[in-house]
Amino acid sequence: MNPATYRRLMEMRDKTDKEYGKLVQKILAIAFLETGAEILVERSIQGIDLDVTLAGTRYAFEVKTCEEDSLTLGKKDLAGLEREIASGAEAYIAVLAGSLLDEWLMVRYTPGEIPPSKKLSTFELRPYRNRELERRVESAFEDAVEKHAATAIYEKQKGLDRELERYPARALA
Amino acid sequence: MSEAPYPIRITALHARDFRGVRGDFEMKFDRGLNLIVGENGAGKSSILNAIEWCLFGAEVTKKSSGIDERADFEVRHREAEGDVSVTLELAARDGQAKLTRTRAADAKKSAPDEVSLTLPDGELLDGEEVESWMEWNHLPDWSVWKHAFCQHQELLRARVTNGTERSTQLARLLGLDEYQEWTASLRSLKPQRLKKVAAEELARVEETLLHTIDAPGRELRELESQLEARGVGRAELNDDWLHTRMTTQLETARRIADKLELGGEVPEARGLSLDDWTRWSREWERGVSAGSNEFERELGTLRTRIGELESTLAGIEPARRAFEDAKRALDNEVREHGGETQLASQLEELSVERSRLVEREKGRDATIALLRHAVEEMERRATAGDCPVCETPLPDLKASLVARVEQAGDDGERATREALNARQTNLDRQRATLNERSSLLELARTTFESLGTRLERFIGSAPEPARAAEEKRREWMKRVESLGATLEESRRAQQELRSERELFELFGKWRAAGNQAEAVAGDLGRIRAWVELQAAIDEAASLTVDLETLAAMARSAQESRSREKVDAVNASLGRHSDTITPGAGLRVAVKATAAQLNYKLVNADGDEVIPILNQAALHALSFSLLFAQAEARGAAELPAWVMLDDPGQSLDEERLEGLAVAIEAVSSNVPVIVASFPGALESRLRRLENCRVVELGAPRVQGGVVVRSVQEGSAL
Repeated sequence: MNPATYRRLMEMRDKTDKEYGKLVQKILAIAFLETGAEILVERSIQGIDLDVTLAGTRYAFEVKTCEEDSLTLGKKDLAGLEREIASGAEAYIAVLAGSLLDEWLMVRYTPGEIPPSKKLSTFELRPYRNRELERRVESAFEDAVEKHAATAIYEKQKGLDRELERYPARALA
Repeated sequence: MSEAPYPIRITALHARDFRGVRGDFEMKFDRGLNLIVGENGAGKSSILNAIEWCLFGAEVTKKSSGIDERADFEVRHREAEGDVSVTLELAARDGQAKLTRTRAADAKKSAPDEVSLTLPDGELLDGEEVESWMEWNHLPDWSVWKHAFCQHQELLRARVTNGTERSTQLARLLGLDEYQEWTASLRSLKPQRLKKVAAEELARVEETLLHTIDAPGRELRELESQLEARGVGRAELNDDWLHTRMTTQLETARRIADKLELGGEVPEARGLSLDDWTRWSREWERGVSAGSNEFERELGTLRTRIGELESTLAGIEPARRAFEDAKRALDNEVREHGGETQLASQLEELSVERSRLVEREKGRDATIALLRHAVEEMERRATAGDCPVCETPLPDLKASLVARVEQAGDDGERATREALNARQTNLDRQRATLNERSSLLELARTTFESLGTRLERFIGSAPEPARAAEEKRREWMKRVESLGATLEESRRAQQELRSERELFELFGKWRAAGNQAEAVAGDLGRIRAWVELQAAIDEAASLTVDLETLAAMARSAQESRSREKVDAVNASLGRHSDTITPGAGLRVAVKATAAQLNYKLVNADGDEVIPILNQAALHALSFSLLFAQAEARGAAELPAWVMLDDPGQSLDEERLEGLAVAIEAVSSNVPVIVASFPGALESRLRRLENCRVVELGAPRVQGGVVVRSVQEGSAL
């Protein structure tokens, strides 16, 4: 990750505490919109976190941030992803760990392969990465962080929602 | 080898100079039970060893065979001179095949044996072809042989007391040996360990890289802290901030330059680089210092002149008063005692009077001298009463003359002289006073005139010098004030500029560190080794997941097959176990854990039996396991036979009987070869119908196995 992006994210994390995950999710949504998402639904409360249509393909993302290199996926998270698969989407877990060398891991979810409620290391998720998707969003995410970090820090989710509303492709949840 | 495998069996052995065999030896194994009977040293074990050597070669002649005693295993009979060879005749689908292993007489210890196989149709195979043929026909490898074919004396108890051995055999008994091997192989790859090592390695590399990459980052954060301490937050740090601050400084500099009347132009902020600004600021500071020095000098001069003007103004009035006082005093003196002319006239008069007095005193002195002479003459003539001139008697003359002399010395001249002296003194004093007053007047006049001249130097010739002087002073004071303010402002501006320059230098360093940090990280993404490491870590992660998945699948299949076969196996195992040890009720219990399947030997009550069994029971159990495995292989139409080396040891009469019954039962399913001492077991077995008894003679001095008799059972 670009060190400037990393520093901005760390600043965000330090200053926004519990909201950090949701703020990162919204910035990722902006990044997808910048990369040409045709439709994007971002949910802060219930349902799958991001529903993105890119080049005609529907992707459903459960977005996770972790300070260390491990995370736990609840049954509810996985059930949500499975519902998305049933509805025709490709289900992904988007993971951003907390080190300078960490990038987004776009982990393709296949039912049964990732156990619920188990502490998973990012290492264990690597086999399911979609590098193309990761590369696609990488620089757009860095740009979005640079552009919107101040809004995220000072105006929190409301500010980023306002930014999201500027994109015609952004659909209401 | 296109047809399905055939359960191959050994039918005969040909050995030459193998261990205890001297010369050529032959033996058939074509009965259900093949009993070799002989005393110690007769060659029973050599015959069994020959079968193993032919099948497995060097694998059975070293300690790694799993049998410690094989460490010094010698293949060749010590008296032999030619090649050593063993041939096994094998009953194959189309007839007899012959497997031959030969060690040349001159072969070095580490040299490989020659192995060949003559197929029923006469085709000769060698080397890897032989191995492929054996594998295709499911002939056992050494591990399977140890567990499912042969009871080695050395391994008899280990078969059941060693947990790994026991588990392997139980798994094999359940037909799960492949799964067991897969699981073991997968476990030996230690996916969890691989995962841990890969994660640790990645973390280590990341830490190293982070340390390297983050060096500029650390500097960056340090610089941000320093900037924040100087009131500039991280959020403000950008080129706009720099431009704004530079513009402010340049405007101030322009103002100061105007005030200090400095030459040279102050540049515009637009397009000015930080380096240019820094260079300009240093030059400007030097210019301001030089300009300030000139202002300082002017200020000093002005202050001196103001001081002089003020002191002149302060002194001129008293000087004027002093002059007038002196003049007045002199006038008074002149008026009272006259001036210099009068005083000179008086002094002249006094001098005339003094001259007259001197003349008078001279006359008086001559008179006195004459009188004294007359007195002296009278005294010389002793004519006290006669006039010395006329010698007229004058009795009182002398007294009169003495009185006259005394009177002449004390007459009016003395008073006159004293009066003249007094007048002289008085006139001297007047003259001194006059001189003093004149001097004072001159001094006061000089002082007054000097101050006036000096004032004129400041203000020129002015009709109202005091007013003009005051105006001049005010004018100068105003200039002093202006200069002081300008100098103070320029000093402040210089300080601020220095402070800003330090701040901008920090900003420059911050920007450079940021660029460097970004460049390093940017470069990282392009470093092939890093990209490859990421790919390798991804692959390692995939491999661990695959291994874990495979292990889970193997375990799942193993568990499923265990459930399918455990009853049949327990029936076979229980039958043999109960035959050898009545009432043992032995069975296999399969316990599934999250990581693997565990097999235990338990009694009818489900209690693990190994810890409580005695030696005889362990032996009996070991045989039960072996027999069950052999029968399982036989039932699966795999090559299967049982080879027992002195199985009766450590068994009491009752168990020997049970063992004989079990051997009889097994031999009806798979061929059995038994090497035994003469005794209860041997006598019990030789009575069986399907038994061929080969009795070996006593060992010869020069070695060699001798067949004393061959007795065929009634079923032959």
